Amino acid sequence: MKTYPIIAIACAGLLMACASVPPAELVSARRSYAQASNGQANRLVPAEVHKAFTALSLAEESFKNDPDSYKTRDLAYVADRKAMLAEALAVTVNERAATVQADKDYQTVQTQIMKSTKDELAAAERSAVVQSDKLAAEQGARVDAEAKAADARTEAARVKDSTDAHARMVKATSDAEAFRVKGLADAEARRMAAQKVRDDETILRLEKGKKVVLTGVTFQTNKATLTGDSEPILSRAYNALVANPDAQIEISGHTDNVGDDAYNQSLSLERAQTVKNWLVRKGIASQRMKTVGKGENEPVGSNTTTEGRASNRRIEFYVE
Amino acid sequence: MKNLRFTTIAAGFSLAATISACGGGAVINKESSTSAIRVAEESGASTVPNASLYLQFAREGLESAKKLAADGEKEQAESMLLRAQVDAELAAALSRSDTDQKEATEAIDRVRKLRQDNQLPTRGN
Repeated sequence: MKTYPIIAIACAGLLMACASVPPAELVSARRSYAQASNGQANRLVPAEVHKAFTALSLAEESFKNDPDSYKTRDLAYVADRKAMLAEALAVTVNERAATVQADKDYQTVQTQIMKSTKDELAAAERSAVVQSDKLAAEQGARVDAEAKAADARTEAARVKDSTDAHARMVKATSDAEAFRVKGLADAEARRMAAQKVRDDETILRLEKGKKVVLTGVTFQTNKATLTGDSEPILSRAYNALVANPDAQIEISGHTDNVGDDAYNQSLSLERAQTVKNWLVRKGIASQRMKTVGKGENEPVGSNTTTEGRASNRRIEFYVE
Repeated sequence: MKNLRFTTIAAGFSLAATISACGGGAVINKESSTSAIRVAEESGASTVPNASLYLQFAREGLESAKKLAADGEKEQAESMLLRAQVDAELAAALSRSDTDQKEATEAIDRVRKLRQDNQLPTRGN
């Protein structure tokens, strides 16, 4: 009889021990709720956490009353899921907030970029304006400088032209003066030459178609070399030719009859040529004079006397 | 005559009870559970690994509830429907959370890229 109460107490204790072990669903629900209530879910989605609490309370109540029932397990299961749901919704709220913040940041950055770009554009525009003004100033200065340079060139050209004109004028004046002086000098020279010719006219007169004997022109014996005494008469002959520039002269040489006739012929020609050469050296044109050797063929005196032979040795001008 | 009438009535009740027990089962309201599952599916839960697990639990819970109801366990079936419903709701929430996480990441990346492209200092996460 005493064993029955002991067995009953043992059974009751065993039953109580079994009843105090919560089902896995309830353990999981408690853990999930603890996590949700201690985490961001309690701050972000408190209503959902409260729903999980209510569900967990129902499960706990059911566990007290009927620990092993499917109802207790199902209520704990629901409580577990509601706690997890609260966590998931908290994550969603958090992520959406992050998205909203990122969008705001994006707009802020865009605004910042636009402002920066605008500032840069404004700065660039200001710089461009400054640069443009500077360029315009430089362009203006360059134009002014070019205009001044052009003016300077024009002035220089004008001065040069003026200088050249002046130089030309001076030169022309000088030339004119020189020409005038030369003309005067030439005229004076001509006047003096004419005067001199006139002075010598009585000595050597040239007339067309007539012969003039150049008395006084003598040569060394048997040579065509002039003696020193011949120069004065030759000079008068020269003056006569200058005074009569149109006169064409035949210069003829003559000998006496001493010596070989052919020799005399050759000698007379050489002497005529010597006279011509003398006149040419003085400036008379060569083409105005021709020479001829007459030898002993045209005597003007007797070859039998000394005076006669001296007169036969002569030079004649014949004006053509 | 009375015995025949009693016998007939008893047989009718017995037949009705048999028909009720075998073909009809318990009638349960699955609307909330099926609606929650549909919402989860439409939110793309089947493509999100974590969410797809709970969507699967919800579908299995719904099937279990149907089976319990068919077995006449109406209360247990309704309790199972609650499990299926919260599983579906959790699946949908996890799917949305995944989408929101991706959108947040993309938004932050956009900001970072915008800063980098414009050579602005980037802030840490």
